[in-house]
Order: sequence, then C-alpha cells, then structure tokens
Amino acid sequence: MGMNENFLLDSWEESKYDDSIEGFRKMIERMDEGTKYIKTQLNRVDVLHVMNNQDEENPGSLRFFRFGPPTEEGCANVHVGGFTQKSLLEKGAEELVTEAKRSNNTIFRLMGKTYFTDYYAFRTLAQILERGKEFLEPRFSRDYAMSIDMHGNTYGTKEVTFVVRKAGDLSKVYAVHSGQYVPVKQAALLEICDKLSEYFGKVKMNWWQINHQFSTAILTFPEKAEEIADFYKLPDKFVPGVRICISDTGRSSLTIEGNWQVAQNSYNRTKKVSKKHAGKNDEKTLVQDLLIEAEQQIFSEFAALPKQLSILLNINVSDPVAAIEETVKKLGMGHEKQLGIKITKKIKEQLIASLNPNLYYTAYDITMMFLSLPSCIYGLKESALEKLERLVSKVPWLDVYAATDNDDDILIVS
Amino acid sequence: MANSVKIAMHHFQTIASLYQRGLIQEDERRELTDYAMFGKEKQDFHLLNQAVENLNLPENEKAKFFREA
Repeated sequence: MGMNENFLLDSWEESKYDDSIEGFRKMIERMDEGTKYIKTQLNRVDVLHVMNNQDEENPGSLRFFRFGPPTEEGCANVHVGGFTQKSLLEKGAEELVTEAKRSNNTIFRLMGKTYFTDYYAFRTLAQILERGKEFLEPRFSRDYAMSIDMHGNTYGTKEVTFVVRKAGDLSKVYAVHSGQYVPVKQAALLEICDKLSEYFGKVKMNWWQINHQFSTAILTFPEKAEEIADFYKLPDKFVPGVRICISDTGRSSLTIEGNWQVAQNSYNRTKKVSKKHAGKNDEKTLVQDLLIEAEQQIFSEFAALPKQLSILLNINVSDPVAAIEETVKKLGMGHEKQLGIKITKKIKEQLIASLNPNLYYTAYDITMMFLSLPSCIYGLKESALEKLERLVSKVPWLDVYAATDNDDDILIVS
Repeated sequence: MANSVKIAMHHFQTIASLYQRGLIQEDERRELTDYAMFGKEKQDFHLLNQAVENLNLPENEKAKFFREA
C-alpha cells in the first residue's frame, strides 16, 4: 500500500489474519511516517465550511463559507470562497473532495495550509470546546459557532495538538487533543511485540487491524502453550496471548489485554492494563511501565487458568443441564448491560441441546462449552462478541461446583 | 445563501445581540448557542424556541427568534 489519497479517507482500513508480524510492522511504520503532530493555538486555525451547493460543472472544485474573526457582538462575518479544480486535483484530492462534500464538510486552514478533516476529529475537539456529542454533526451552524469559539476569549488561546496524517501534499486532521497530549508513536506496539518475545519466546501474530481510529493486534505465545500442555495434560490446547491496542485519536490508551485462544478462533479476554498518552513520561517509559503492569497482572496469571482447568477435569457433573443454567445465571449473562435476555436464552438453549445424554460430563467439559462459545456463535455484533469473550473467561472461576465427601459424586449448587 | 445558513446566522446574531446588551447571561448564551447549532433538519428549532420561551425576556426580543430569517 502506498500512502496515496485513499489512505486519508475516513473509511481506510487494513486488516489481516496473518502468521507473520512483518506485515503489521510495515503498516505501523507507514502509519508513523504519515502522521504529524502539530501544536498550535485554536485562534490560529481558520474554519471553512464546504457548501451544499457546488459547481456541478467542475466536480473537482470546492466552494465553501469562510468565517471571519468574531465581531464585538460575538458574531462572525461569513464570506464565500472556493478552491479551484486545478489546485485540488493536481494534488490528487478527488476522493477527499467527494468525502468533504458528502459527509465531512469542515476544512481547517493553518499557516497557509489546507487540512481536510475526519468526521470523528470533532469528537476530540468537542471535549476541548466543552460541547456534547451533537457536535459531531457537520452542519453550517456547528462550524459557525465553532469558529467563533475558536477565536473567542475563552478558547482562542488554548494550546492544542492536531493529529495530522499526510499523503503526498494532502493533509487531514484526525483528532484535536489538548496541549498536554503526549504523542506516542504507534511503533510502541512493535516495541511491545519485541519485548514479549523476551518473556515468552516465539510470538505469533494471529490477526491485526489498522485504521485511523485504532491499531490493534492479537498475538499468541505457542512455546508457552506447549509448556502448559506438557505440564497440565489437558485434553484441549490452550494458547496464552495478548491483544495490544493503541490510538492517537482518543479512542484508546496504549493497552495490553490478556487473551486465551481456546478453539481455533475463540478468544477469552482476561485482565487489561493501559497507559494514557498524557503526563511527563516519554514513550519508552510508558511502554516499560505498561509491561511491568502486564507482568504483574496478566502474565503472572497465565499459569492459573490451566491449573484451575486441571482441577475442573476431576469433577464429575451429575446434572449438566443444571450446571449450564447455573453458570449462565452466575455470569449474569442475561443482564441488559451484558448480552440481554433474548441472546442469553438462545445461547442457553443451544448449549443444552448440544448435550449428549449418553455421555458423562466433567466440570471441565461444561467450562469448555462456554470457553468455546465466541467461535461458535455467529451474527453477534462486535460489541456483544467482546462482552461474550469477557464473560466466558470468568467461567472457570465461578463457584458452580461444590465438592462433596465423595469426589466422584459432585453436586450442582443452585 | 441557503435558507438554513440564513436562519443559523440570524439566530447567532440575535443571541449575540442579547448578550451584548446584557439581556442574557453567559450560561444562557451558551445554552441558546447549543440549541441554535443543533436545530434538527428542516429548521426544526423547537428546543431553541422552548429555551427562549423560558427566558425572562421582553416579548419583542423573544419574537426576534421566531421571525423568518
């Protein structure tokens, strides 16, 4: 992928199921090369609003309203202006012009340069100007009031950091942070990958995704998995790993989240540690501190799950239906903030239907049914799948099974 | 200029004028600006109109908001 104009579109995204870390590495390096952080004061930024009525005969040109400085009454004069087709098309901005006309009507001018804007850049600018979520709507009235605020006494002198990505001569703003924002290069994720191999030997890339909001990757540690398999002799393979994430557009802190790959594509999320991009710490210290926290809270628990599963393997379940019902209940799966009653009912019914009355079940078997759920359930929204991944990771630790005097006869506590 | 642009500018100018003359306070100005910014499509400014109605303003000042821009 070259850093062409399409790279700047809001919808740009690259993602891949990939064994190697190299593709991810290249893309992250390209992201960092294409990203600049510009510190400025809000009153140095001019706001242009792309008009709804455009010159149809010159589709590459762009007409806009330009807002003058606030008058004493707190209003602004509005002028009409335009970019010529030549000036924009020579830079190859055809797609960006279309996007600006369709959905991203705001353009910034700073130090004589033109900056297109990402639709979600206004999520971060809204925080600085103390506005609500409606501020995302790219209306004339939003830009008019925003321009007055940006040049007024209250906000005009505020220091801000523009997160800008470039492709050739074209630039686009993706976020506007406060002046205290500490830029962290996305290469921090690569540094984490390298450090992880010091802990776990081989680090295998499973899947990665990069867009203007997030960069994220799921990594697993196969050597650690073999060690676990040798030691605990569990019937299934458990591969420990992490999900790492960074965002320079305010969507996520630098994050490491523990992960267990259970079935082929079933991931159970464990604990999460993160560091915000603010304060005095530089990038290196941030990564170091994050890894120390990950070591204490995530890596140290990598032995705990297989150990717990080996205990569950020795517990027989006399009533598997009751065990499933009790697990669902204790997880709080049906709560409206989790999966809700409807989805939970379906999951429960499917789990119960999959039981074979001719088989004996252990607590391990029932737990595995839950741990494998994320790869067996189709049609869930991403946010619901994430909730499911978090929920089922608690199953091995639920107090569902109580041992009696006779270890062969285990009852379900309801 | 498009009608929606004229209406937006009329609202902002009216709010600024009220503030300038001390008829509304800073927090009221901000509230009205918020509502003027986010009038729904087709110039549905019922939240702005409601907020103006609730203010302690002379009727002739309130009427300026409802006048066609």
